[in-house]
This record gives sequence, structure tokens and C-alpha cells, in this order.
Amino acid sequence: MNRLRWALLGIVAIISLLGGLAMPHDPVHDAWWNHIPGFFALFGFFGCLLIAVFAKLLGKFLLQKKEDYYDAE
Amino acid sequence: MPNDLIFPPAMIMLVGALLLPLLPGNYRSFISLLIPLLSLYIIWVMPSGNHLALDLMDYHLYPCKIDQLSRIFGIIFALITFIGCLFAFHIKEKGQQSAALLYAAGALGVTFAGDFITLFVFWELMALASTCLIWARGTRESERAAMRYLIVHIFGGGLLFAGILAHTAEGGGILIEKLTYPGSLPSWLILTGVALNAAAVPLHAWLPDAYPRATVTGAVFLSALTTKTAVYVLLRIFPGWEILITLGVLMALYGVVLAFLANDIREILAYHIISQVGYMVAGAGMGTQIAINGATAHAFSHILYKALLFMGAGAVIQATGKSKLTELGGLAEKQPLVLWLYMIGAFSISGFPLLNGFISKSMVVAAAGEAHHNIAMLLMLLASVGTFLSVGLKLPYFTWYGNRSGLTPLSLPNNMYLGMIAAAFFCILHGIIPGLLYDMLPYQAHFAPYTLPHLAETSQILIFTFAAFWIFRKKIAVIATITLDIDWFYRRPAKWAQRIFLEDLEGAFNKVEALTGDGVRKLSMLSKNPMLIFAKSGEKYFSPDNYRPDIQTMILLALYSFALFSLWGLLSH
Repeated sequence: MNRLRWALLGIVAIISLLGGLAMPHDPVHDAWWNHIPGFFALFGFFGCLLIAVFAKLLGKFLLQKKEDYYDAE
Repeated sequence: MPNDLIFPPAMIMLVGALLLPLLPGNYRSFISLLIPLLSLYIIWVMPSGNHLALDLMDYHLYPCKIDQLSRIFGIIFALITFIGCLFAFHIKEKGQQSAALLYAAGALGVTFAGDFITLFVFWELMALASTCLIWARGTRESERAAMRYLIVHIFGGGLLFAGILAHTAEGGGILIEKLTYPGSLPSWLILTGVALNAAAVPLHAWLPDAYPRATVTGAVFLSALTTKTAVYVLLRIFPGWEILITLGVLMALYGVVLAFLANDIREILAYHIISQVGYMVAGAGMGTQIAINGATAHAFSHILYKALLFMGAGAVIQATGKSKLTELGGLAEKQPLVLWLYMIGAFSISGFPLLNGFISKSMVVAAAGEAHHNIAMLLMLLASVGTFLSVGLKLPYFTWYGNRSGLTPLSLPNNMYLGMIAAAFFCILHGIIPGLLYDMLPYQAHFAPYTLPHLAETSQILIFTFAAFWIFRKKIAVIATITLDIDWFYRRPAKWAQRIFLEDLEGAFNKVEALTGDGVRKLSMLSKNPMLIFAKSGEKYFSPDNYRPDIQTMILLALYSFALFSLWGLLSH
């Protein structure tokens, strides 16, 4: 990733954050999270980590086995 | 009553599949493109209503019934069969070509079935034909996976059939119609049979077990047809069954968690079928007009981008012979077109604006919001984070970037690129002009995906998911393992069952046989020469001469006896 792409991504990120702040949320569906500024940015970041950590733990302690697990005698 | 004479689309596929093996090799691929196009045309122009009525014993069958809902599913099934055949244009094996069309015939037959008997017949046809697409890979692994796949689907078909029989016995009739919630046992049997094909957790394990082992081209058809036919039947028969909301959300999350652990690229995609179908199942569970519309639209979009993803992954496998993230890497410069086309599919499934996933997934999520299922809504958004993480970031990163594997990909036939381009075209087309898709939906409902709050929300989620991935990408690296799933419960005990009922039993039989044989042998030896009981060694056969005492011994014995008697006589006096 070169510098230009990072810069573009940063600009889009800022616009999306500001857009989320500026725009009134959908009146049809008024959920509690609409009142937290930048909620979906945090949601994306920590949701990603949550899934990764949860899956890794599950894999490590329960689900991941050697590749010949079903064939080994 | 039949409106007019029309050739049912499923029959076109069926006839095509049966004629195909008789044609000379050069024409087969062309004909396999024409047949889906012909079906597509007929589905497009066929007026709504019942087009055919047959009598089977006392039952009236309606094998070709079309309305708004079945039309849109028929269109996408025919379209994806065309795209799949284009991707598989270079395949010359009669079996695979024919099986693909037969499979599509099954899917169309289920879609346009007006009664349960027709539905069941085509349901089983799908199971058989799709098994062939796994078998055709020809490896020992795929052979065994295909057998597991077939057994599970026969079980599911059995549940469905039992449900249909019980439903008819209860006086429910054989016409397909909406069943009321919560329903009785027959409804639940039918639901379980259908849910198995929809890969509903915990009846899903056949999917990530079999799809990664199918042929490169066969997996494209598999990814499109079986689960989405089941989604169609759920939308048709079980709309508003609230349990499906919970089940769907569970599927959406389960798929992303298990996909994160997978190493095989097509296994990652397979788990994301479960995850995406979860949105559709949840949509069926909500049962509102916007939810049904959303589930239908998402099925349509999903078939296109998932086929594109499977084609991209297939292109990598075909070109490198490798399918595991741990063995791939650094292919970006060598396969730029495959990467780009794959990324269109990956961005679609992740719900990027301007692509078709954005305009359909958001409908299901919005339907959840409208029905005030806040938790379901939030969890579905969480699942979409996981989708972007695995399909949009991790898989491409470790396949085309990451460690350099030093692999030199072979060049691919042009028709494979054409197939991918066709699918990518529709992903972009519907993303830019959502109206084209929305106009085909079963209900007239107004939905505007491109609102500013929605755009801001989506881009925040995507950008910050990317940020988390980029910061922790080293820790996210996969390891070469397999991941256990529910199939453990029938694969692992299968080994024990084999040991107890085959190996141990055979061992016991062998032991008894050996012992008996030994006994008989010894007995026959003894009967030939009983003297062996007393002697350690001897002749094999008894001969009296061998054991007859010498004459000297006899004389000596007579003399001793005489002496003994004489002595006794003397002493007794």
C-alpha cells in the first residue's frame, strides 16, 4: 500500500465519521446505538478483533487438529 | 388449470442433460450454453399460473407453477447455470457436463413445483446430480466426501418425504402452500428436511465437507443451487416462522467464526455460504414483505458473487494445484485479472457500496430493524464484519500477497475469465442500478439503499475492520490444520464403527476360523493315526506293522508270564 492509497483511505474514513455525526439517523428505526457517535467505527474495529480472538481460542482449545486427523490410525 | 401449452424449464434442462452425452465432443460445450439460455428465456416470458396438470393415481400434480417469487429464483438459477457452463466450457467430460445440467434441472423443478410430489422428485434429483460433481474430482478424498454428502442428503430427503407423507395423511393435501406456525409434526419434519439443504446449523456440516473437494467447475454450480433452492422453499412454505430468525442469525455468526479457522480457500468460501444463507433464513423467519423481498434479493446477489468467488478460488487451484492459504502467496503480479475479478466478488459479499451485496444484504438488516429485532440486527452487522475479514481481507491477502510461495501459475483457458467477467458484470450492474433487481422482487416495496446514514455506517464498519486487520495481520496468519465441525459426530464414530463392526468382527471371525481349522486338522491327524496321542512323533497314517511288537518280545513275555504263574503256584501251596 503506497502513501497515496493510505491518504485516500484516511480521507474516506474521516468523511464517513463526519457523515455519521452530521446525518440524522433513519427515523423508522431508532436504536440506542444511533446516539453513540462513531459507533460503527468502533463496532467494525472491535467486532473484527472479537471474531478473530474468539475463533482463535475456539480453534486452539477445541477444534483445530492435525491435517491427518481423520486418516490417522 | 393450465393456461396454455408451454415447455417447462426444468424439462428443457432435463432433456438437454440427457441429450448431451449423445452429441459429439465439439458441440457439447456449445449446447450446454444454449440450454440454460433457452430455459432463461422461457422463465422470463412464461405468464404466471399453472402450466401443466398431471394425474398420479388420485393426486393432481402441478409440475410447472410460476409466480413472482418462483420466477426470480428461476431466472437466477438459469442465469448461473449459463455462467457456470461458460466457466466450464473447456471441460470435455460428458459426465460432468451432463450432471451440471441435471442438477440445474432439479433446482428449476423444485422452484416451479406446485405440489409436494414434484418437489420431492426434483429434490432427490438435485442430490444425486450434485454428488456426481464432487465425485468427478476423482481423488480418494473427494470420493469419500461425495459418499458422506450423498448419505446426509438421502437422510434429509427421507425427513422431507416422511414429512410430506405425514402431512398428506393429516389431510393437508399435496399442494405446496404456506404452513402455519408453529405447526404439527409433519410441518417440522418438512422444515428439518429443507433446513438440512439450507445448511442450517447444526445440519450444515456436509457443505464445508464436500464443496472444497468438488471439481473446480462443479463447485460453482454447487455454491449456487442446493442451499438457495432450500431458501426458496423456506420463503414459500415457512415465512414468518420465528424460530428461523434465531437460526438464521446463528448461521450468519457460525459461518464467519468457522471460516476464520479454515485453511482451504474454498472451505472459507463454503463457510461463508452458511453465513450468507443465514441472512436469508432470518429474512424468511421475519416474514414481512420487506424481509421476503430482502431474502430473495440477497439470494439473487449471493448466487452471483458467491459463484464469482468460487470461480476465482477455482482459478487459483486450477493454475497452481494448491488450495491452502499456508501453501499459497505472492500471486498478485502473476494473476492480476483473477485477483481483480475475485475482489469484485469479495467486495460484493462484504457489502461495499456500488456492488450488489450492499443493496440486498442491507434490505434484510433493515427488515430486522423495522421489525424491532435489535439484537438480530446488530449480530447480522457483526457477521458482515467477519465476512469482510475472511473473504475480503484474509483470503486475498494470504493468497495473492503475504509470503511468497514461489508458485508459477499455469495459464487458464479464456472461457474461465469470461465466466468470471459475466458474474462480475451482474454484481456491478445491480450495485449501480438496484432497480433492475428490485423490480423483479415478489412484493412491491420501496427500499432506498443509498441513503447517507447507511453509506456512513457501512463505510465506517468496513474501514475500521480493515484497520483492525492491518494492525493485527501478522497474528491473524493461518496455520496448517483442519477444523473439526459437526461432521466429527459421524466421521469419528464411523472409524470406531468400522473398527467394531468390520475390523474387530473380522478379526474375531478369523480367529474362530483359525481355531476351528486347527482343531479339525488335529482331529483328522489323530483319526488317521491315534497312536500320536502317546507318541511325540510318528507316521502320518496308522499302520499296524509299525506298532506290532517283535517276536522276541512275545516269546519273552510268554516266558515271563509262565515264570510268574509258576512262582505264584509254588508260593500258594
